[in-house]
Amino acid sequence: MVLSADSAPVRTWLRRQRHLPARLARRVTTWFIEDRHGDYGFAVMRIASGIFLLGWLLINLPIASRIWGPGSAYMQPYREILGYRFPFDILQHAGPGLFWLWYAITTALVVAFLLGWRTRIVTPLLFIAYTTLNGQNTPISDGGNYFIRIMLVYLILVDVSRRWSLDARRRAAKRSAETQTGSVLHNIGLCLVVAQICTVYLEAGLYKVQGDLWQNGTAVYYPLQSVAYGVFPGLADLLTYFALPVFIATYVTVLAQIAFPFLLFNTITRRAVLIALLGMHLSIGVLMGLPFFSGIMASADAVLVSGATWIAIVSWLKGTLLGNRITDSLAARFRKRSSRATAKGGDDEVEEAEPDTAPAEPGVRA
Amino acid sequence: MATPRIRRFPAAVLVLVGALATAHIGATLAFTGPATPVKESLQPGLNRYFLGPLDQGWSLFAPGPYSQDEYMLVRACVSDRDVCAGGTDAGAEFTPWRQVTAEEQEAVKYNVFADRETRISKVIHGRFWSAAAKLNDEQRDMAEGNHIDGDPVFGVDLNSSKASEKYSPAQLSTLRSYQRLEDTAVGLGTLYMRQQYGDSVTLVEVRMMRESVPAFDKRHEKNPTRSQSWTNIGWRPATEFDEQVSAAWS
Repeated sequence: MVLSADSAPVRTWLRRQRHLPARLARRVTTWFIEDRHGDYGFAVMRIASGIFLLGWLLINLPIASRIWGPGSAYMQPYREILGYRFPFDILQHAGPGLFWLWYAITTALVVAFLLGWRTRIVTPLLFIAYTTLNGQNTPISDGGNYFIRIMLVYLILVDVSRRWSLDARRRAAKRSAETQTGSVLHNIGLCLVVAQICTVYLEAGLYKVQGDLWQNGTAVYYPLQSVAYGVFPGLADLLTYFALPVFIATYVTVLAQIAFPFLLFNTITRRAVLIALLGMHLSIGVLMGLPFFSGIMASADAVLVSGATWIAIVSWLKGTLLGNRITDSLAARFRKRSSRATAKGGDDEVEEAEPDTAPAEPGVRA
Repeated sequence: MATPRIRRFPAAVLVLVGALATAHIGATLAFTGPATPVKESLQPGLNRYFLGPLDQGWSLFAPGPYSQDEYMLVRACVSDRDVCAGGTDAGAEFTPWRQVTAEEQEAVKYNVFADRETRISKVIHGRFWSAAAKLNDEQRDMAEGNHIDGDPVFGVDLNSSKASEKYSPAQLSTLRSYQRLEDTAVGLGTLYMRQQYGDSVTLVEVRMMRESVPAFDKRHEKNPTRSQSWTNIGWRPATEFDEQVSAAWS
């Protein structure tokens, strides 16, 4: 085959790039093994979604028997065909004893998850316990319940307790090494979480675009004025009095959702879209009385915020909440009292004081 | 600094779990996305895969926001079933209509942290309404009729071979979906009425009502019209539940 003079640069370029696939593969594998990415974001997601799940279980405790327990038997014709097989169907014909035991275990698992205690075992167990409970009455769930159930599947792969958790303290004390396999699974879990968030927002946005009320810029008015979601009718009247704010809120919602996956690539646009969505979730949570839905959705977005940002936010919060006169004087009083007690009790009872900074957490060891 | 080399087992995990994760996300995109030839070609596998624990039931107020309030109303006959069949002329005693959803939603106002009991009948309404909307006129008439002796609503047991002969698979699927949701609504209606009237409840009648939120351009009117639409379930025998179910509702 004879190549013309014009093809020489192409050939040279191709020759130069012959190691590109190998380099790319190395970069990808290095990304998967060198670190457990998004660990601070996952810590925030774990703590926030744990708090919301706990709130959900506690607030619904007085009526749990009627919506998920033996009293939910009216749902049986509907739920029996939803594909919840063993162990997810275990509560369908259960009596109050098993139901309340299950409820207590689920609550305990949520607390353990929130605190980051043995999450490699707790997360899959929580998925089973929570999904079983949820499967008793799927229509009563809100979007947040659907979302966290799917997220829990992905979080089984993730090292959610690498930061700000009981596991992290234990690991630091033991100086236990992290395995490559664990890192690979963690990072695949991260990819799944991000992909699911992007799918949810993008598709919700694309479907919204097809709706007339979203197109004409009045959509957010309707749920706010409904009886079911109009938690504060007076406030809803005020917010929807003028057309412009309704139009802006409607269009920002749609645009932010559709653009979400594309805005993640740049730091500034990512922050902008995350703030927009946080505002949207806050509004839905308060104005429409859906705090658990909004809270769980927003907690998943935490994964998209960098570790450095989370550390900065936590430092700022510590400074604001703890570094004021009231807390300083309280801390000084506490120190005084404990030093008196120590002087009385003798040296044997003195425990090593907590260091001001958290112990170094283990890095990835290849 | 030298880049770390991946070991064999983590590499295998990366390839295998990575492939599964990619396939799962691809399936999620296909399942939740619009109807396309690709989605069609993957059915019914996609539907089966996303049943149960992997159900992707989020909609986030799309494509339309919630713009109609959904209500469930129930009343009961608290006489013997035979007497009920004869109506008031035969001495049957009927309860007034109970606005179940309106009662549930009283707790929503000014309460961001309302429990989910405020939504029980509303969410059943939502699913029932969609299923009922798929019935044709004749089927709807049958559903709105009274079936107080437990005779099948659509004239035939929907799980029998006779039903397979009478209806096409698609029609049968529609009717079965409807029947399940009707049974659910009647079951909930029974529990609410028994909660109030005890075991004397023998028959229940359920109505679903939708009331539109005033249109955006009518929002400044003093008494804007709220259009209503109804779907009714005729009289049905009260559902029998065991003691522990009744205890939860007592």
